[in-house]
Amino acid sequence: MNEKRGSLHLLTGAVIGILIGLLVSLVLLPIQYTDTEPYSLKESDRAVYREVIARAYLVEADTMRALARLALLQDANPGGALVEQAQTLLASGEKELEARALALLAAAVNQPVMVITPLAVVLPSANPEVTTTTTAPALKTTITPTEILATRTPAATITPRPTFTPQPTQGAPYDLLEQSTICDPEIKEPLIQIFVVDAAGNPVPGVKVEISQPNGGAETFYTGLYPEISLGYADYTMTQGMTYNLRVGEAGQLVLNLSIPACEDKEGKDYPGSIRLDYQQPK
Amino acid sequence: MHKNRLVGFIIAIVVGIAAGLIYGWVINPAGVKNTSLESLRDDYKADYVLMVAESYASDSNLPGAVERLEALSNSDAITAVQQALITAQQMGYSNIELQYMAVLEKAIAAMGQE
Repeated sequence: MNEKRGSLHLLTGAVIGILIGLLVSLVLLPIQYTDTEPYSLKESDRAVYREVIARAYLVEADTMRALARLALLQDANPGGALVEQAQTLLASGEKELEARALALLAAAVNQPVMVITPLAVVLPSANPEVTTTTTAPALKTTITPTEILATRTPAATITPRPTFTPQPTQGAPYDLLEQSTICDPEIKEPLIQIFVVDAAGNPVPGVKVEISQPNGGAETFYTGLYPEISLGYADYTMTQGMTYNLRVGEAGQLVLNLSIPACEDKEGKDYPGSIRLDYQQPK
Repeated sequence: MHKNRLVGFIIAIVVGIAAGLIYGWVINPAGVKNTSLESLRDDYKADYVLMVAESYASDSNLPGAVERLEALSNSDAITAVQQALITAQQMGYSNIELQYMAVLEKAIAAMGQE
């Protein structure tokens, strides 16, 4: 009996020690990695990485390069992740440009042949001092050419720069072609549905939509957040008793006094309807 | 006798801790996940800096660019750009891309001198 107790205290000590060791090595002080790849980033840094990719996409207008960079994150649903992040930014009311960029990139995920006009940039001077901070010893000691070539990734592929033009994507105004009331009991919330197409009739993502209320308060959102409906689609949920003014594009005409239309079902009961606005760029 | 049992118990705990650490750090370490931008490989960092530099070229938002760069290099934006320039040169980035990065580096350096 005494011998059994003797071995039990050793066993108990070993189990306690192993648990402490595992807690420290796997949870409290896990191994720190270096030279990692983007797919391993924590969620907050993944969001930053997506944002940077989207911002660069606006400047480069190189869809394939942006998609290659995005692929490095190995998101299960890249478009969905971009849309979700764009909506979060819009809801927070911050980083409007980033939200637009993310929405555009989400549209590009679903339509890789999509072409956007790059943002205007301040071109670097003709002869910058590129080598002033990159001394030869530093090159030799920190990075060897073979190492870099071996680890070159699609994200770093050098592609021809687009030609920079001064026109932003949303320069041209959009005309309201049609405003219609939608009475569909299947639509659970009263929506303002916006469909934007270009002069050729192709849906246009990333178009700014401003909605305001006569008594103050304004919100901004963009087409392209619901590519499963249309790349040129956006919607807004109306509140009972409120009226709204809406503008599509930077210089579009203001549509006044939009409010929830009353619809009637088969039994004669009223229910809130929705509004559809169709916009097109003039030819 | 009681003292011997206590010593044995402590030794068992120490051996157990050692075994747990070896398992967690050597045999079966935690997977590569939840890493930070700072731990990215140099070529990814260079591409990241390029993207930030291109954005800066379009919006001239230096504080925003610095904020994004500080995540790469322990709150040292200028070092992040300089290291990226070295990598970019070795990787054969185009001249215009190097120029974007150099302009950003120059702007950050000027900001630091103010």
